[in-house]
Amino acid sequence: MDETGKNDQRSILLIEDSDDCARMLKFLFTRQGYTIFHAIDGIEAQTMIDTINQPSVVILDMMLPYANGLQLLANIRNKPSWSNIPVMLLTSDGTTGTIVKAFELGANDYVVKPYKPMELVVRIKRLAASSPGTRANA
Amino acid sequence: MTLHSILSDPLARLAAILGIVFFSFSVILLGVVVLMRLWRLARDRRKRQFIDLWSPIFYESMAETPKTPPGILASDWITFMQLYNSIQESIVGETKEKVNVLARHVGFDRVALKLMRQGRLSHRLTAIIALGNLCEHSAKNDLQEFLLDKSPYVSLLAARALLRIDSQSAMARIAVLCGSREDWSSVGVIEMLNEAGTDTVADPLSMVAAHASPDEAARVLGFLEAAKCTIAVPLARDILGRQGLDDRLTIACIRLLAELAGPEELPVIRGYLQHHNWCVRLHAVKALGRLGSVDDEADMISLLDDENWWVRFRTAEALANFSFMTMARLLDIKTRVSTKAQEVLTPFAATHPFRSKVSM
Repeated sequence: MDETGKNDQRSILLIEDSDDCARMLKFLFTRQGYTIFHAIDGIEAQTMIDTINQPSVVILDMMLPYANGLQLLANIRNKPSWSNIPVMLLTSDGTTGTIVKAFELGANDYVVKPYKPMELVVRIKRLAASSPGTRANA
Repeated sequence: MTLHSILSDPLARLAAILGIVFFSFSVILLGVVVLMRLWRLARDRRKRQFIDLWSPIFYESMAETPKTPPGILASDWITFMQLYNSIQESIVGETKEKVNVLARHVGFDRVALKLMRQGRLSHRLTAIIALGNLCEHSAKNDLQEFLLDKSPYVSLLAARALLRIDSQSAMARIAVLCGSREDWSSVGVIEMLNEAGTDTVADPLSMVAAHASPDEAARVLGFLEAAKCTIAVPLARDILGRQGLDDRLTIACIRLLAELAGPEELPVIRGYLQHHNWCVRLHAVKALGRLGSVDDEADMISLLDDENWWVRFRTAEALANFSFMTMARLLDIKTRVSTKAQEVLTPFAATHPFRSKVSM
């Protein structure tokens, strides 16, 4: 990948602190042909946002050590080259307030844990298809 | 001075013997610690290897059951059970049953039953969760016995497992226990009821709330409220109509009405604004804050002078949070009330513009 703003074709930035959950997501999406970049906390996630090329999609857990998902979402949207990258929120907190707040900050979709794995795969593929970088590379 | 001459002294000999004994003991102790550490590292490595091997097999099983899954050593079943539970707790829908097909295929149902009956407490608890996830009907009798276990962990997990296996037949008995088992974690019970669904839990819980002692009925009404069982609204209204009602039960009914009913219940709630127990007045005020209208403003303003600080505070909060309340209106109220009332209104008046913007 280059520095022209195009994202890595079919890559996902997975920000998830639970080993079990991350292991399953990595398996599901690696099998679909995605390259996975995995951050386990807010600090590592911020470092990846600052350093790696644009992914096709960001999967973002809400509850993380050091920085929560909403803070990271705001940082993603404030970074010009990432401002249109689709973000899927993964949350155990399905309350309306949290979800509305996430959409206000620019989330594209959300899934409440526990979730249907195959449904998540389909939703991520749909988001990846609409990702500006993916279209540019297609 | 030679070693021989030193050891000829009885005291020196005793000191030497003691020194050798303690040194040997320390060496043995160090050896044991090192061995235990090595054993632990080997066990953790074995566990990681097992998880690395079996996780993909489980994930594959969500699409198709592997035809020849690898064998499992007796010492690995606990890790298998933990991995299985972890995966089952993170997914919903038909995929859960596909994972169960794999678990049964490798004989996990029989192993889980054995561990529930014979294992130590931590293994038994994990096995109870696993049998619930497996929807293992042959475990029902054992689980029903565990419902009465003196350990709240065992009994609550058994209740949850039974609800997963056969919610319709288990709920009547579990509803009674929801009232009587004060040692059950409220959060755990609410999670269990929400998972079972309103349709399953509403009627049995309402039956218990209608006939139980005041303490138990209050507890069950709390669960009906948390599980969003709107079917319990008429019941709460009926209970409030009883003579000489226990205050805890009164509060539980008011809370339920505030959470699940509409403005049609306002006349009932307004009747408790002058109750002799300040806790009841407080919950009536909170309910009015949720359901009330501009018609309640005058009553609320008079409660800003209540003898109890908490009632005054919650009244000020409820007034400030009314949808029709504006900054100007709040400041106007502040000019018309006593100094005591002004004290509780001040922080809400000061933060009102900010709260209006951030509230969702």
